[in-house]
Amino acid sequence: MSNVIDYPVADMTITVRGGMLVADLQAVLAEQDQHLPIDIPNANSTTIGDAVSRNVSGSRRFGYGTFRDYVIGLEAVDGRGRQFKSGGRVVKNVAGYDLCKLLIGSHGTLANITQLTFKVLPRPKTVGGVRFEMNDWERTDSVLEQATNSATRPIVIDVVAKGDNHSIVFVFDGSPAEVEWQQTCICDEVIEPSLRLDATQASSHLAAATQLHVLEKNRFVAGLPSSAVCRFLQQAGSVNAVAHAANGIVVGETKSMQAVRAMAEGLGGWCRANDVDAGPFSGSKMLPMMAKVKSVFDPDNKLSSSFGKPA
Amino acid sequence: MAPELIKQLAAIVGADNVLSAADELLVYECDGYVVHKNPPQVVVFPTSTQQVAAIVKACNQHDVPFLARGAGTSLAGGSIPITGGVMITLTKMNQILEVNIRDRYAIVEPGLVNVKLTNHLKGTGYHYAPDPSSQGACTIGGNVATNSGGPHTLKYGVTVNHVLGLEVVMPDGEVVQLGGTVEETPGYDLTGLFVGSEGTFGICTKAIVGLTRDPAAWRTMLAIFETVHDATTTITEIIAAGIVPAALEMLDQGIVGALEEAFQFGFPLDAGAVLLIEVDGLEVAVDEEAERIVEICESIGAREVRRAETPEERQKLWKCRKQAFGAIGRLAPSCCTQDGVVPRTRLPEILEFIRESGERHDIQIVNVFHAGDGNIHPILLFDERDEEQIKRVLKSSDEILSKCIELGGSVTGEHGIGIEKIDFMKQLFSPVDLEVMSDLRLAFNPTGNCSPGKLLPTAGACGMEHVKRTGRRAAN
Repeated sequence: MSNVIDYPVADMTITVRGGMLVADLQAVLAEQDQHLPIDIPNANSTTIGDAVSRNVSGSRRFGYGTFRDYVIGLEAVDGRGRQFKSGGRVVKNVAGYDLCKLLIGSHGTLANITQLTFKVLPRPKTVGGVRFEMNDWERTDSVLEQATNSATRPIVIDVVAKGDNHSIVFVFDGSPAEVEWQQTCICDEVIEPSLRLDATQASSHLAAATQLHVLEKNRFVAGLPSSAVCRFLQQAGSVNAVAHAANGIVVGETKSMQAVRAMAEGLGGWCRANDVDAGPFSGSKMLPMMAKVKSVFDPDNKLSSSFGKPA
Repeated sequence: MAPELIKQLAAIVGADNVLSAADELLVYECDGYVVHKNPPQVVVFPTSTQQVAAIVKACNQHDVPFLARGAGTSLAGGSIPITGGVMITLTKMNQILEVNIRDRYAIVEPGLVNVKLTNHLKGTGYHYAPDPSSQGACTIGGNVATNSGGPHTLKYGVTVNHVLGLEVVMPDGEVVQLGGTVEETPGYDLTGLFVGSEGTFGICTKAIVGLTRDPAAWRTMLAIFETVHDATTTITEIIAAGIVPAALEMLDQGIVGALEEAFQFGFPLDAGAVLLIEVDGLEVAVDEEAERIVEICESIGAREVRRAETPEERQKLWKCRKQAFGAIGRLAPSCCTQDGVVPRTRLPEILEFIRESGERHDIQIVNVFHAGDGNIHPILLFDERDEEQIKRVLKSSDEILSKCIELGGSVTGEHGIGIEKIDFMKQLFSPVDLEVMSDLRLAFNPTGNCSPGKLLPTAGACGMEHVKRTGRRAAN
């Protein structure tokens, strides 16, 4: 049984079963020069339903957004065994409550997603980037601030921290001329030692950053004001982390989860352990309202009920 | 309504901010969907979240229905007080509270007119992307309630794609914060659920919206076609070629004629349809993309492709597009605008169907719509003084929307279900789908007093009985 239910290529939408592997989905789209521009780790072993349920994203979220910008319809079975749908198969549709948004990132606590319809995009011709090696957090912060008004339109602005070193990576996509023009332009704007990344190098940066999103012991994910990312990484000291700086999302490894969480909260953000044992909603201030929603879809806790600890 | 409640409301917002005289209430009996009218018993103008919460609590105490209203530009009856009650008009809560370019967000009050945010941001290099055609009048709070779109949502997404967080007065009067200035606050995406809930989950009292970088360059073109079919085929070809324009709008001959009379832009009156196409991006890339589009237009047989050479010309083109609805007044005393969506490749079919339907029912229908999204806006012209014409308009409207569903689409792309399209929910969704939605509404809005009679056809609770369409009167 094919996992692709409907793929009207010219409409740039695709409907697939939730159990389809992410890599298979991307392969089907690539044949038509289209893609779903979301970075999902372990694409060969992750189903698209699972990725949506966990709202996985990576570096390109700055340029392309997250699943909430691409899921236009779904079918699911809730904890009461009700099979329901939301949205549809057209790119613009406001009929009914948008249960797609509710299920994206609900970590399987409300319903199992059985079918998904995505809006997809034409695949850019090429990708490239520039890496700036930095050694002063204040300077890094000012480069990031400057980047808010860059003449370029990066799809990725990452800060990569490894031990005591760190760098800023800009990634661009589009035609070869667009990518090259932006590489030159960003080097003119940011006067720092730089290394141009070709398509392979840029892609391997994306892959490495994506891999840090995988759930593992001693990993964290934090959300901060974009302007606080450098202070956070500086305070965290020698960490292995990637910040999707313009989004304020940081993923990394730490041995002192509590300290990292306190730092994030001190800077107006949130932080939680990113391992399988940690409740995905730890620290949520919305637990009472979420409980109301949970009672609609899964009153008897037949599905995953890991709500995490309240804030 | 209990005089005691009116007194209570006056104590909350001040007597000057309460309207209860019958003649004053007339303004509030309908929104942009003028087919159905019913006035509220009281209109209040709160100036703070605390006041909104106190009003909601007072209404609950007296078991009186209430609903929020922004500018009243809804085209689906979302802000019609179908069961009367208290109308909470938010136009006095219209401040921009914070703009933060570094963190790319703005915090605004719900009564802020959409275009005022855009104007405020001029010069910063950023803008608020959703740009409904009514952006000169509609409010951000209303945009949040209906998940509004606009021409540039083809590339940049609709309202929900740009809302990071909300402050909401829940139907029980509790004030909650959903989302925030920081992305992905832990928990369900209740912000995403709330946007587009058409006021039935509570009242938005603050919105945190994301800001979008201005395009570095743009090219705006006007492609002129002999027939509607050529124009719609071109749309399909452009999208299929993997080009995502910033906007792709179609205007047919009827609209072009009305616009020309109003603005004298120089539109050709004998053309079957025109496409307004905008591409944006880097200066180094836009010409190539524009060229590809011109080639496609010409290959389908465009008579001519004009380019806006200056920002002024571009602005004038967009002004024409956005004032198209205003120009309709030149064509007929009344009109009814539909909001169907079809897969983009089915546009030629649905446009042909609309033409046939108009002929079948002897109704003139003109079209101006967001072609790139497959979001059609057939405008049915008639005279509301003629009951018989109204019946034909209703038949034709229903036929067109049913056809949209048949072609795999939806009955609303951006205007919402409101009360207008409530009957179609059963065609779009199964009883179980509707039950889930209804349960969710009951969880947030257990008494049903918060904007009753909207969006769902099923009776959920008191005050949410199915609202039968009592016949439409049309736009004045």
